[in-house]
Amino acid sequence: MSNKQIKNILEDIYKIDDSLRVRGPQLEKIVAEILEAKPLVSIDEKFKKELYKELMERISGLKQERVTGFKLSYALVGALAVIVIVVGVGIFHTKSSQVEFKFTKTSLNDEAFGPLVTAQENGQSANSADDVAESRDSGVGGGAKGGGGGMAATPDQIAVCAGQTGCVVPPYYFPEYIYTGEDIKLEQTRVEVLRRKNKMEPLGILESFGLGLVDLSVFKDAKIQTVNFVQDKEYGYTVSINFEEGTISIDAYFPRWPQLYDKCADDRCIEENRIKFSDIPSDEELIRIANQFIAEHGISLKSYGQPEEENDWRNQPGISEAQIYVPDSISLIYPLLIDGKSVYEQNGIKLGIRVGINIREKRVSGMYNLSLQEYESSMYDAETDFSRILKFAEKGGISRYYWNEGQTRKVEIGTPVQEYMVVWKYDRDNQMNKMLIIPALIFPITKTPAEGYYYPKNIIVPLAKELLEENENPVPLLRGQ
Amino acid sequence: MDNKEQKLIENCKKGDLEKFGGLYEIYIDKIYKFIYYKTHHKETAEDLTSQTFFKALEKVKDFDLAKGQFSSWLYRIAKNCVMDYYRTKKETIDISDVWDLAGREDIKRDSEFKEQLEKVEKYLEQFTSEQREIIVMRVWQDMTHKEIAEIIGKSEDSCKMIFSRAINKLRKEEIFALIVLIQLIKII
Repeated sequence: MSNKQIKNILEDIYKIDDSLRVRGPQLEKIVAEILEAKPLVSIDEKFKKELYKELMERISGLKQERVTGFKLSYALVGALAVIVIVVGVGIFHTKSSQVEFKFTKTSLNDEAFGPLVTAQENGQSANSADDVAESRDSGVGGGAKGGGGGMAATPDQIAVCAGQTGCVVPPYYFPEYIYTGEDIKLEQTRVEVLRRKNKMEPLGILESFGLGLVDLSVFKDAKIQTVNFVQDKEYGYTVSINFEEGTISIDAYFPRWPQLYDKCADDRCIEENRIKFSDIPSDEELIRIANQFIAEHGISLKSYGQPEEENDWRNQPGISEAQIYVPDSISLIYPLLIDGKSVYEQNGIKLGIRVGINIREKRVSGMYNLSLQEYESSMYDAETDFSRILKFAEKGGISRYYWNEGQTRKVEIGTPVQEYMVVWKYDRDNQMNKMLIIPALIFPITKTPAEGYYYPKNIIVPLAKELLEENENPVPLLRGQ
Repeated sequence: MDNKEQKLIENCKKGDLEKFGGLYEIYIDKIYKFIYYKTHHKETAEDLTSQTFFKALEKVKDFDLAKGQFSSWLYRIAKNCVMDYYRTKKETIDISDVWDLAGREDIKRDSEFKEQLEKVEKYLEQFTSEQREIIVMRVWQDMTHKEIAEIIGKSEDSCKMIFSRAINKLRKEEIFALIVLIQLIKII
């Protein structure tokens, strides 16, 4: 920025208040400071050309005639297109066959999965504080709170923070867990560990969808890792199938869904049209919308329980309702049930199929974590000493903090119930993570501190001895490490 | 908006989408900088710039010239892309740009501008995103008063009102800087 430009800005200021001329040198210095801080940024010409090319390809794609009512993502070409169309037609139009997510289990020898923990040198341990914090970011909609389970600031601190731009991360208190439940006798000396079969052959997954529309055996030698396709119509969806992970996700195809900024000419309009609490339908209505979508798309959820709303984002003590950002999409979870028991991720959230519902449109905007529930099982040593388990729980369980600096607040935990937890183990041979499901004790949080707020709902302790040993004496980390 | 730009938009609306390339040439640099000043990170800015133009391409047929300027419509898409990006971080408080996340170590920022940006962070982080947007567009993007008013969809008077709300937020020791910034806004 040249002196001339600075002078122009100063002259503009003086036009408003001529008395400021006496502070000319100081004003010039401050304006210069702001101007000098301007990053001298320029766009990467290579990026600019590539984006132009991609846009032109997209334009070309948009012009093509659509025969089936479905259009491939522009990233997919050739033979893959045949499969995609078949899958697309199958999912959206095959009324006679249901997409089954039925639980099956194959028993293997004892300790068939090898060690339950991943060796540290792989850097894949799922139990570091960072991983736990990261895992909180999963899910649809809602305002999940980062931080990995600590207690947030007092209401006063939050209120100050809410009114001050730039203040986002409140200080944390650290929980001190106190067990108030009954003594438990643990008699099982072995526990059954499950491993999900996540690397499925593409043709296998298609067959399990019961399509039977075409003989796909001709593609047997081809390896398909992921497939995406787009339903290009009003309120259409994109569908992604990951054969490596054995998962399917469905998302709103946003170009064909109404966007707020289409109807709003200014920010005031956008602000006025933000979703309010009063816009959120009742739980019954949300469930009805989700169930209708599931039924219309022939998805069978035999292995899943009744849906529950993921509503942690509503719990923000010290912040008024008007200040809470209400997400456009509310998430329901259909929890996976194994022998009638729930499965918990390490952050305390139930594992299951998530359905996002767009509040503005009252439609399902996404469905995630659909996966075939095929498992192998194997027996492992169980921990039977409840006092040892309790000690582990009082340190925060599997998603504990590894530091203990700062102020603490008491959190009471009650009598546990036996359910399941998820552990991810890195498979060196296949270079991918495998999901293990391990019996675990789930301690409910029964009393939280009056000061601040505490959002985890439970403490999770694995019953497999090996996992306890691995996690009960971790090397303490310094905060920020 | 000049006649050339208006013709490009009209042709796009009629289905001649190749003309979108002309609009891309006019706005790519401006939109990229607009996003960069909100993210301070090259890769993020490139990603969000791509999203902005793809969204605009999909929606240009529905753009209504009677409702406002194409530039303000495009900048709003860019602004929403940035907000959506930060919303995916699942913050409990709305985040409009990277200034709202001052001090956060987990947010990617280009190191080359870190020091110089920190110098003005003390001023800018205290404003609302809208106030910051006005200052950055006026001072860094060298936009005219008219352009800014069109993009943010407000009159000059309402800009003054917006800025007056920031007065109470500033600390005494920064009052002098405040005077400068007030005047910068007033002239818009």
